[in-house]
Amino acid sequence: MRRLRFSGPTWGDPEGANRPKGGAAGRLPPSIGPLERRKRRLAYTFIFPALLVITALYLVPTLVTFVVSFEPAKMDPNIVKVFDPANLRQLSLDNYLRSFQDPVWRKAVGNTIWYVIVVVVLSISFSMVTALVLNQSFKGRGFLRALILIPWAVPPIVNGTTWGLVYHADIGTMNGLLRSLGIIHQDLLWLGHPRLALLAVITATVWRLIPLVTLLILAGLQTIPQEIYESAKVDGANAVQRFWHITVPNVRMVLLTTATLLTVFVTKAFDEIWALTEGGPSYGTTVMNLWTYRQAFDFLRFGYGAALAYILMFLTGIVVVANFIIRRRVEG
Amino acid sequence: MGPSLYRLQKKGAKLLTYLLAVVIGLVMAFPLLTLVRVSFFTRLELYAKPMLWLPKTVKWQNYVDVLAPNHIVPIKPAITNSLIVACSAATLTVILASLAAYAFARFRFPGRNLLQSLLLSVYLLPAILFLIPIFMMLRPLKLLDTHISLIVPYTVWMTPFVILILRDFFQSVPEEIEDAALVDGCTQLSVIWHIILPLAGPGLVAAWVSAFIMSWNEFLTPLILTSKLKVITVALGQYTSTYDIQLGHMAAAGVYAILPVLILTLIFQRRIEQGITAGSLKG
Repeated sequence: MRRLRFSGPTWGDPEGANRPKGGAAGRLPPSIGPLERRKRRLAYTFIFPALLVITALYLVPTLVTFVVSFEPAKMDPNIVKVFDPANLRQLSLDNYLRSFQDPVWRKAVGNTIWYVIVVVVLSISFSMVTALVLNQSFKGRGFLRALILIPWAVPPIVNGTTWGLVYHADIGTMNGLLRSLGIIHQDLLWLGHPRLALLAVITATVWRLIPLVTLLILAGLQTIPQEIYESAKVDGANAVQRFWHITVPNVRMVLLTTATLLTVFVTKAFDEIWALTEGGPSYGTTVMNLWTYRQAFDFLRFGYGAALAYILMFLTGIVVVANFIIRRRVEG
Repeated sequence: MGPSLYRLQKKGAKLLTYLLAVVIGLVMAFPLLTLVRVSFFTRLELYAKPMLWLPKTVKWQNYVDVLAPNHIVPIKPAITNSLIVACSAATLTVILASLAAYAFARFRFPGRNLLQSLLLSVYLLPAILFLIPIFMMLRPLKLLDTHISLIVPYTVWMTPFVILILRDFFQSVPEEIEDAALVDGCTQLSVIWHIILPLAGPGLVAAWVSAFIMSWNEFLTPLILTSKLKVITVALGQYTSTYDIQLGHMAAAGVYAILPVLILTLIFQRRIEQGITAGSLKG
C-alpha cells in the first residue's frame, strides 16, 4: 500500500512537494535534510534485530544446507563436521544425481504434482462458489463466514487425525454416509488403496485451505464495482454471462496469485499425510517433502536429504517465477 | 422481461444462495462433527453394527481419561508445553516484528523494497531446508528437547509473516498525529510508546494471536527437534502408534488441541481475516 503524496509537504517528508511525481516508491531525493537522515538511521535500527535473527537462523542455515547437499549422503549429524576439510574435499553432485535413480523419489515427484494440481483446482473451485455465496446478503451469512474460518485454526495434524476418523475403514463416517445414501454397499478401505488414500489426503488438505482461498477471492470480488453488474443486467446479460465476462476477468490476477501461493503451501504440506497414511500404502501418498524428511531424519542421510530439499525448493521456485512473468506480461 | 418473471428470477437466486450456503456449511462442519461425535462414544458404541450416528448418552469419560496422569499419551504435560512455547514465541515475535514493521510502514530508506522482498522469499523455503542445520547445530549443544529449541525457530520464521501483518496495521494509523507529536518535541521512541502502541494495540493483539496459533499448530519442527519433551501436536500424533488404539481418547485429545485456537479465532475473527489476506496478497 503506498500513500499518496501530492497534498503538499509533510513533516516526515520535507522535500515531498519537490519530488517528481510518479517516481518509483522508495527512491530518495538527491539531498536529504537532517530530520530525514535521523529517520533513516532510526529505520535501520528498528529493522536490525529482526534482520539479524532472520539472517543468522534462517538464511545462514539455508546456505549451510546448500553445502551439506554436496557432501557425502550419510554424514555425522554435527554442524562442525560440515566444514571439516575431510568433508569439504569430497564435495560432489552425487546426491543430486542419486535422486534420479531413486524410485521412491521419482514416485514422490509424480505424487506431488498430482497432489498440488488437484488441491489447487479443487480448493479454488469450492472457494469460488463459497466466496460468491458470501458476497450475497442473506440471513446466516455471519454464521457461515465464521464456520468457513474454522479450518484455518485447526492444527493441521489434528485435521489429519480428524479425516482419519472420517475415512476409517470400520467406523468412518464417510463409509457410513455413502452407505446410508446407497452409493456403496461394501465398506471401502480408503486408506488401504494408493489412489483412494491420495484422494483422502487431498480432501483433508483442501478443507484446511478453504478459509485462506475463500478470503482471498472474496477480497478480490469486493473490488469489483457493483455498477458494472447493474449495467450488464440492463443490457440483458444473464447470471452465467455476468460471471464469465465480469467476475472472472476481474479476479483472474487474484486467482493467479492464489494458485501460486497454494502451490508453495501445498508442496510444504506434511502433517495431514503424516497423520493419515505416513506416505503409504506402497508409497502412494509419499510426496517430495515427506521423502526428504524420511531421508534426513529417519535414515539420517543428511547430505541426500539436503539435496532433495533443494530440488524441492527449485521446483517451487519455477512456479513462483512463472507467476511473476505472467503477471508482468498481463499487467504490461 | 415482465416484472413477474424478474421477481421469480430473484426468488430463484435467493433460493440457490441458501441451498449452496447449507451445502457449504455441511461440508465444512462434517469432519469436525465426526471428531466430536467419536469423542463422546464408548468403544462398544463406536464399533456397533449397524452404525450409530449419535451416542446413546453424552459421556465425558474420554475427556476425563486423556487428562489422567497415567494416560498412555501425556496430553496434560503436552498442553502445558505447548502453552509455554506458543506464548513465549508469540511475544518474542511481536516485539521483533513490530519495530521492523513500523520502520517499513513509516520510513523511506535505501534498500526498503529489497528487504521486503527478502522477507517474502522466506516463505518459499521448505522448512526442512533449515531444520537440517538447526538439528545439526542443537544436537552437540545438547539443546534438543528444550523449550528454547522450539521457541527460537518458531520466532524466526513467524517474524516475516507478522512484519507484513503489522506493517498494514501501522499504515492504517494516521501519520499526522505522530508528526504533530514530533513537532511538539517528542522523541521517536516516545511517539511509538505513547501514540503508536495505544492506537495499534488491537493490531498488536491480533498479531500476537496469529503467532500463537501458528506456534500451537506447528508439528514438523517439534517432531524433529524434540523427543522426550512433547507438545500437543506431537503427542496427538503418537496415538496412531499406540498398541490397541483408543479412537475415543484420540478424538477427545484432538478436541483439546483445537479448543484454544478455535476460541481465539472466533474472538478475533475480523482481525484474523484481515491478517490472512494482508499477509498473503499485498506483500
